[in-house]
Amino acid sequence: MLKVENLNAGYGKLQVLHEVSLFFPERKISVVIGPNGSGKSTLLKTIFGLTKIYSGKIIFENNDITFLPPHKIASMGIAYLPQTNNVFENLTVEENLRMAGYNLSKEELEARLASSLEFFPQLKLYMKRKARQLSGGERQMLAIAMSLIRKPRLMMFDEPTAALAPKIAHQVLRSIVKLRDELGITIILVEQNARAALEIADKASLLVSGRVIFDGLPKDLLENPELGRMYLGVTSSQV
Amino acid sequence: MPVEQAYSFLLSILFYMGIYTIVVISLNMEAGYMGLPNFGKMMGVAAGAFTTSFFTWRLAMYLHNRLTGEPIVYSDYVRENAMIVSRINEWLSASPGISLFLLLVTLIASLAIGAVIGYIASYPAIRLREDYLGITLLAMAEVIRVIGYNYKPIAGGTLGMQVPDLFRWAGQHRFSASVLIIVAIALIVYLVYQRMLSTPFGRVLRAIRDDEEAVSSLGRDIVAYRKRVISAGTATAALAGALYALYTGSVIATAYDRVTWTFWPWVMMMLGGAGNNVGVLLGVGVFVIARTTIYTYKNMLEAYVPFNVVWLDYLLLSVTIIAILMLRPQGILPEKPIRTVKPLIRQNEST
Amino acid sequence: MIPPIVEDTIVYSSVLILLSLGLTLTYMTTKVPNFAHATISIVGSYVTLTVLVLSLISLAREALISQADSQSFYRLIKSFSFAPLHYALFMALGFLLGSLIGVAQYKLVLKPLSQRGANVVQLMIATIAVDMFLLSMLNIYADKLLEYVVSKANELSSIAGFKVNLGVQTRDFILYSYDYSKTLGTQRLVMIAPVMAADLLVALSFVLYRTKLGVALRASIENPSLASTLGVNVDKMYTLAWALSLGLAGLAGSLIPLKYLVNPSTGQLFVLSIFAASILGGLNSLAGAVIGGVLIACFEIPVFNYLSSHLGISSAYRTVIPLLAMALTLLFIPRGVAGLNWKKLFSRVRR
Repeated sequence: MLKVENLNAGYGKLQVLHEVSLFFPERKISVVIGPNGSGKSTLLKTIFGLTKIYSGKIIFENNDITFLPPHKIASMGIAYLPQTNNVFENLTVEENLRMAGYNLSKEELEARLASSLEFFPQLKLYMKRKARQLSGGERQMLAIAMSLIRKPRLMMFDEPTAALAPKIAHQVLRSIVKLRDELGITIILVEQNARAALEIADKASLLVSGRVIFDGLPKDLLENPELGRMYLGVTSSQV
Repeated sequence: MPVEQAYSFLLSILFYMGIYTIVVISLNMEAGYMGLPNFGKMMGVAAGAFTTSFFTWRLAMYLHNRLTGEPIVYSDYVRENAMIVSRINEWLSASPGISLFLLLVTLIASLAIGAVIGYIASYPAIRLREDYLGITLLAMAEVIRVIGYNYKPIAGGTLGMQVPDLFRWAGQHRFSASVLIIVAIALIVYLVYQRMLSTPFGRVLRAIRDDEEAVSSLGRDIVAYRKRVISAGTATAALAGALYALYTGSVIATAYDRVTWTFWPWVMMMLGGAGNNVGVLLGVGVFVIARTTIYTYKNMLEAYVPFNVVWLDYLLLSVTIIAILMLRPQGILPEKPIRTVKPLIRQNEST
Repeated sequence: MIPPIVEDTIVYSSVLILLSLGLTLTYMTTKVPNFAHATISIVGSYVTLTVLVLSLISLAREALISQADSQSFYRLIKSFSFAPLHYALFMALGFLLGSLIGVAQYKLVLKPLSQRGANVVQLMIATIAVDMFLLSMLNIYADKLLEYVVSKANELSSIAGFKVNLGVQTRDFILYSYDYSKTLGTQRLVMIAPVMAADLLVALSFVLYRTKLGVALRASIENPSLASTLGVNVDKMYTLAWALSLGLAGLAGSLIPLKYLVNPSTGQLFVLSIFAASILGGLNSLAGAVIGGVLIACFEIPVFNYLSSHLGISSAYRTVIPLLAMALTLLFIPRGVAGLNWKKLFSRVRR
């Protein structure tokens, strides 16, 4: 599905990612974890064309997308949900959803709007409400619903459960599982909330200081005594 | 060009260079070092000129009346202004000591009034973002001018006011002597600023400009720094305003406009290099010479310019600003030496 | 019969609303206060003057072809009054020219500069440069238009056999008499200005809240990076906002000379009232800009009129009023009337 090869990237002169190589399999949830400043968020931004790439390759479904601008990457079926500012706060829920289908024809937009709302029925109650009046969990759902309108095959989430109450965080993670199971979407999930995320993951990678330290099955990571103590322990107590 | 004309041309250039150095060096502290958008720079210059027109003659007349025992009698100062000032001037022409004393007192008073006005004018927006502060200072400068123009006791209203000639004692060398004094004062101001800005104070100002949050997290009170800088900058500009008024011998509120005393100083600072004091001298030099030349050869230029040469000044101003911003925003002499070797990284073309 | 002071307030607030609305909209897109806003609207004023000049010349030519004598000729010229077509023409041309200049300012100056990494202060000084550029252009145009009027008058004089004077000034001009309607007993502007302002407000809110384009514009203003990832061409949206805003400015400007004295630098002072209105409205709210426009107009006309007649304040200080309002806003409600928490305010009053 998505393959990253020997990626070196960062912001201007500041290199964040060093020789990162990872593979994200189709219709699976891949979780990327790591301590603060390890480059997890930068990895997603880099895939989406928002940082400076010094060298390396990003391949999506056999297409090289390494140096494509964000809107081209978006049109290929990749959605990126940043941690914050992922909805228009001053627009209503309906306007937000319609903005997500900005380039679609009217009929297609209506159809996708309906199917997207099918996925998050509770949003139907708030259609005329401004997005800033929604709760944190509802906002994440709106953001996911907005990406769904564009029918992505790959969705990348940057810490979707940060700053959410545990119960709401659980709900958000449940809907991510539903995305995989019901819509067959490939998921890349960057999380601080490592244990909860690893429970739903099919695959796990650990980034430290911009380098891949572990790449394999979630249970191997959870059971690895050294890495588990050093990184999972630390990260989960920080949350 | 005859020698006499060349000499007066040179004198005029030196005079404007002195005045503008004082204005622009203080603007450089505010805008170049600290990133404070003082679009009301003329406020300081006007404050100094108005202090001179309001205060100097009163003190001079008081001294005249006390020392000569022949009080000057008048009923309306604004209307009889020329007569009174010429009486004072006659007396002053024989008293260089009193003239220099008056000069010193006028300069000190201008500094004080300038500092107070700078503080008051920036107060409403001192805690707000740069754009609000810029708009506020521009507007407040206009208030000072409107008051100076309409409240006659300050600067005679629409007619303007004469100010005592504190350089008359030099006789036929009056202009040379006054330019010499002005250039000397400009040099002192320059050295004081250069000195002051190379201490940790200057580094704090730069740090505030580059990263306000980081500086305030280090416990520096940015608002206090802003207040200090704007007061000091306006006081310094007031010094220039007072010297300008004393040199030209009169004050009229319409002479203190945004173009001459705010925007031109900005261009001079930007051309030389914001944050670089040597750049200030360069920018002042270039534009004072250019503008004085245009002004002197106005009649000759008229044959080549298809419109009134007066508007050439505005055109030159606007085109220079855009050209500097587009081609060399850091100015001719940038603040820090630029890196000549680019880091060997592949640029991401798409972002 | 409407009292003149009410007429004045109605017209002035209509014009101010159109101007502060545009200023606010451009500020919301590029986050830079546009100091050239008012001067661009004065370009609209010169559109109206040009329409008048051309109409008068063709009227004069027709009259002379039908061999009018001096007396009937001047009766005809003096009785000239704008027809509905004239109003439509100068408002439409004012809008068009204003939006063209606005787009040029955004595309040729502000956008390239922000792509080069210019900061807010540099962008502000760039808008000042645009202002100066337009100011010099307007001045040159005023000169040229006068030359044209004089040459045409001479041409017509030679046909007529008597001295033809069209009675047109290109500086300090006011076109009140061409707008007077006998049936209304007052100026048509008293009807036109508020109706135009209201219609344009309705049209603008329809576009912004009911059309896909408008929603995309609001989205681009709030979160440009998210909007662009959704496939919105943010640059196009901002261009649209600049075209609309300065189109409104040009249109408002085309109405100004019907009631107020205009010269090329009228914008220099007027811009402060517009800024005051926008800041009072919170600089980030279109509804706030409308409220701010009405409030500033009320402060400047009825409130100030009361103050000047009851407290003896000279009418020359009217300029100070918007600046005072601005300073007080920044001190006490820096986020403007739109930022006030009205619910909380009301509950406090009730208690």
